[in-house]
Amino acid sequence: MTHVTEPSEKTLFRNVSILDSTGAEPYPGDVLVENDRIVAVGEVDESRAEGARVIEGNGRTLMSGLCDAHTHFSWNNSADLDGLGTMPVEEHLLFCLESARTYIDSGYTMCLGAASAKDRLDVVCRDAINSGRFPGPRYLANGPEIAVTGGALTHSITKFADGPEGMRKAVRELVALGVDQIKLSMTGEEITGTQRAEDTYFSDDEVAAAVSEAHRRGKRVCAHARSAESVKMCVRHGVDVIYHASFTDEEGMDMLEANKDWVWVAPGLNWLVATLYEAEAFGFPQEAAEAVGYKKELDIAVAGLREMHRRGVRILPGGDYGFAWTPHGTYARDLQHFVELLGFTPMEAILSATALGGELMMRGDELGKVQSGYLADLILVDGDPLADITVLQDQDKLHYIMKDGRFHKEQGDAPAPPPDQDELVTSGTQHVVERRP
Amino acid sequence: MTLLVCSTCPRYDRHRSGHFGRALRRAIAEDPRDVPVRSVACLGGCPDHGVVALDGPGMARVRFTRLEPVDARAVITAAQAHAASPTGDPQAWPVPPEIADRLSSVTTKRAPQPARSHQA
Repeated sequence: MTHVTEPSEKTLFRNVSILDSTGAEPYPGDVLVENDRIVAVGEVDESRAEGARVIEGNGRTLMSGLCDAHTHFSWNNSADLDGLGTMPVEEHLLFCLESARTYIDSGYTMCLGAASAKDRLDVVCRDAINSGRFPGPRYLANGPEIAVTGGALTHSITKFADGPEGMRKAVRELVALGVDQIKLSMTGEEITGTQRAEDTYFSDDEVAAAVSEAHRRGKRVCAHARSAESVKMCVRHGVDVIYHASFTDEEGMDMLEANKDWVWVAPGLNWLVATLYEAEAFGFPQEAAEAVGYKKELDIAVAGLREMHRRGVRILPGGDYGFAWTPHGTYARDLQHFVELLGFTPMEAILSATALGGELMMRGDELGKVQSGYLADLILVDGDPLADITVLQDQDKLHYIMKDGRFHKEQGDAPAPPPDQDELVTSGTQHVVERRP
Repeated sequence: MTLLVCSTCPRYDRHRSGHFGRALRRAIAEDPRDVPVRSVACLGGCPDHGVVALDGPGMARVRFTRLEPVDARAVITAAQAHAASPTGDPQAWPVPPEIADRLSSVTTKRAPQPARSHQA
């Protein structure tokens, strides 16, 4: 038998500040990537790096790509909930592919789908990304969110189910579509005007049935769960990822703490902040937002999340982006909220978005860290995110973006072009890789 | 203090040229006053482009809309006043009159309630 050795592709990031997401302070060194994996970190043996393409870091920060724990490719920057469902499927798929690209353009290489506005949008995008046809982050796809009769936030994007058997059937149908996880829409949302955030629409039996059926098929379950009761239901029945958890009460807090080895909380903070303060241009002024309860919810949620953080509950950034006032591309604002509102240190916020992100993607041993053996999902940042977490919001500062050892974006060190080229779509020497393998 | 400049304004320009941000940054660079600028992908004031916001750790984020590059001078003045104020809240600093009517949102970074304020 003849053994054929595949030629390897090597990239050496030389003289970078390595933010490795182990919790260690950044340190200077080199990072060698071979094919799709990181193979050496810190001091790289010269012979091992022979033939590598060299990226001169000049002290820039090399860190893991980021994770968004609450992603909706199909939220189409609409100014209202109904707009999520009215876009025809053909246009909607194109929008989703653009969202996927925007995520990776923004340094996000891991995303957890938190519901799809139509049956197969998420699944098709995930598969297209995985096959290399379109750029995007690693993605765990979802289907339409499941709601009970009378409990939908938006009818046109909802899969209705009632009772334990109805839940089992709905889960089975979504599994057949190819989803990676199931979304339960358990509570209301104040912006609807009719569905209160503190109301819980699911019964215990329904949650238990949905979770057991999903887990039986190896699928995750996540839930829109703002009310105190819904959070406790989630923990009681094993919902893996709790979204929002705004009104968690003392009992729920104790339950989260007692189960913190498996449960995740992803509050989607930017939705609350921006809906309260920044949506007036789209017909939802601050007075209206306060009147329906968003100010109260933000206050209570921030206090509760701080308490969760103190107790060691795993809290993840990811902000429900994709409305007109929370548009795609602004994802890293969540990290700023974690620091400024929740009291995370910048390091803690970054660990949540990277190392914990890898665990959330169920690949904690190969995603989310700059460590030998990990997949090479990396961003080279012109700045120090520990000194200023907002640098991650500036795509111009993300000079290189790599996923699976391949560059999605490369930005040379040459000066930007003359400033009179307003017609150009992109500026500087940025090159976004269009061709896929 | 950071002056956030939208890099995607005008959002509904089908060419996605982002020309507002580039033009404003050029105008800011021509001003002798030194202001840290951060480009961000949208500040959510899109129907009324161009958009900037003043922000800083623990400071209120103050957003202005319907701006043109010619407003750069007033924007810098506002940024410096915002930075010099204790909270960033525009009631605590003089908003330049040229752009005062284009202040479109104030995002308070409210202090959390006492530790046990979540629902009992």
